[in-house]
Amino acid sequence: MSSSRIQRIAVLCATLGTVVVAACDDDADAEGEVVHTEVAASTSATPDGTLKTHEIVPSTPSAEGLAYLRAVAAIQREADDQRGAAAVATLQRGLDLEVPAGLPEAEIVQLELASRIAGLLIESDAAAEAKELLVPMLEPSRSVPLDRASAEALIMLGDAATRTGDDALAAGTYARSIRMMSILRQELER
Amino acid sequence: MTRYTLSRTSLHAGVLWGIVSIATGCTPTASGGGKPVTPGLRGDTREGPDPIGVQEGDSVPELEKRLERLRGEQAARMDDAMADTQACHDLCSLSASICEVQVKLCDIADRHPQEGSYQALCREGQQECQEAMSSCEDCVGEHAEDDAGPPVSAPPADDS
Repeated sequence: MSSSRIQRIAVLCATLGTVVVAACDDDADAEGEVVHTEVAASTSATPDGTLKTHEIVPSTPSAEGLAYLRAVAAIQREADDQRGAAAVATLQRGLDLEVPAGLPEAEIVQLELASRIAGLLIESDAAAEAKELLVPMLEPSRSVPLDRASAEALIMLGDAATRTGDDALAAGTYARSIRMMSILRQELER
Repeated sequence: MTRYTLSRTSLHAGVLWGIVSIATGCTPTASGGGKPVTPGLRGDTREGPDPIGVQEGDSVPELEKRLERLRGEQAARMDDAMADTQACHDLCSLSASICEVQVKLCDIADRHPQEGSYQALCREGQQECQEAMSSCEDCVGEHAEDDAGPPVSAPPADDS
């Protein structure tokens, strides 16, 4: 094989490589568009006001349950004297506590902790983090406790979604909180 | 001369006043002057009905017993009033929150005027807000009828 032939093959390979790389770049651009479309889709999506609720039936007091509730109360008090990131870290510790079995009230306690953390995050311009924290706990497909704490958490998620420009999530979440509070109001009237 | 004219004028005025008084029946008794009037009896000064109830006695043990009973009744009424106040407070607090959130929801809906789903949620929120407000006002009104004053204030009306 002559050197000129080798050179031609090398040029061909280089050209082919460039085309492939360009093609890859095109793919990358295409992916970017897809991501962009998804973002656009999420902001122009239909708000989901679906609300599934369940009542929390008070549990039989247990030593573990009581210890958990006391620990959370102590953490809430500790956070009262703190601000910003320190308070968030303290409250997060409460959220990370292992929930004892047979304590359905813990769901409300966790929502209260999460709401408080989200409020602090929104105050410190970290609404996206607040949204990230609350979305899994309050997904429309998931049943939430019929309690004022859930309504507060939904409002907080709505605020976080508003700050991040997610109008569909904000509107759907606000509507769900209104529905929750209306149910609670009707129960009070009985 | 002047004095004579004045006396005569006074005499005429007195006679005229007497005639008018007799003609209209405007006697001092009819106008309520002089005699005491018992409130609620429209001038009827006769004695009212006899007292209703059981004579509880005036001895120290009887008075103590009565005091104890009244204390119990007062405590029960206070408990009822406090429960009512708390219920109204909770109701009105919820109503205020519903209306606050409805304003936020409709602000978002205003940014999507062409999207029916946003508008529907906003309308639903407005309806819930109105219902919640009226139930708060009813609760406060009922409580105000029972007590002297309202326990809590109703949330402000939203014009949006």
